[in-house]
Amino acid sequence: MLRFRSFSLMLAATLAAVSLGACSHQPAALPDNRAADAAAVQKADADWSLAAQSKQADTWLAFYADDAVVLPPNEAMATSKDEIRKSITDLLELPGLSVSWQTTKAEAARSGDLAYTYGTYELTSNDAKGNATTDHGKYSEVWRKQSDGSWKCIVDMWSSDLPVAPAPAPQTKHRGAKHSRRRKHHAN
Amino acid sequence: MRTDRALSLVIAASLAVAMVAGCSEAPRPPMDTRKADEAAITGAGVALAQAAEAKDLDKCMSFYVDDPVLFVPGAPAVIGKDAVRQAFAGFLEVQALKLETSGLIIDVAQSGDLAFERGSYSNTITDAKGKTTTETGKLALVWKKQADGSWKIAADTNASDQ
Repeated sequence: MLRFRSFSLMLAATLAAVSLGACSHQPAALPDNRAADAAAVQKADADWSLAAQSKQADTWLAFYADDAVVLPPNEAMATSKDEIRKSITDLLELPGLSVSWQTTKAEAARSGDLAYTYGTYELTSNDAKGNATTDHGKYSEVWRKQSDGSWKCIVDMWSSDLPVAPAPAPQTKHRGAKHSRRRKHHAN
Repeated sequence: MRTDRALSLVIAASLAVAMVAGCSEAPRPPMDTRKADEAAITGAGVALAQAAEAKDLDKCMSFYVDDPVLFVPGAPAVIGKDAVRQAFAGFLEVQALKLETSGLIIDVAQSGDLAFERGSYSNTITDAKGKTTTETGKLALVWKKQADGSWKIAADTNASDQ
């Protein structure tokens, strides 16, 4: 009977050890990758600004997820791929265009599925008379991690820092209005 | 001796159960609170609009984190709580203000610490002569869950349609 008793105790000790062992191999919480995720999103944003120098719509659009929406100033929200392509193509076709942006802040969720960035942009293009005009403003972007681990933009919004321009003179009204709608800036 | 053996077995079983139970707590992924978070954010958005219409500046500011940013068209980024408060005060001075939003979509991170909301807004002001002007636009908000479980706005970014 003594043997049985020691067997039981041994079993108890073994079970306890196994349980403890199994426990110690499991992390107490999910790993915190927020800093790495934020850095990855900031890099994607910087890569995007560099890629924009090609002024190719396809290159720009590759940074959007399939379900992205674009919220440009002075025009309606673009929610379909066609609407987004049109909005971005109009922007990239501005005469004498030069556009770039820089992240001010990037932050990711603890779960690593969503993140956001905001920052400032600078945009130069030629006005109707061919004179270069420079606009600057701010933007905000929401990013979603894709199944392959890359980050893609799902919400893209920007607006100019410059005050609303006075109404254009009557003879240039039509052209001015059209131009202003197409720019990555200039309100009303 | 039979009692001792039975006792040992009970101890063994209890220990095993205790260990397994203790174990299962540790690696459990955080609870998915996204549905409740979405409802809480919707509620906070409605309460913020009501506070703005009631011109309750303190109440409005209670929906912002301590270091918020506010982006409005035609003006540089507004950074920090004091600056956002000042901008809000100017906004609330408008005689009669009606704020409406539509098509709001909220994306909450699985971890329930960050959320993003976007949609359309419509601000209608009525001047002293009773003339109304409506401005429509788009909004994109970054919400952060606070230590007390409430949700506050970290970034309030807007672009006018006109």
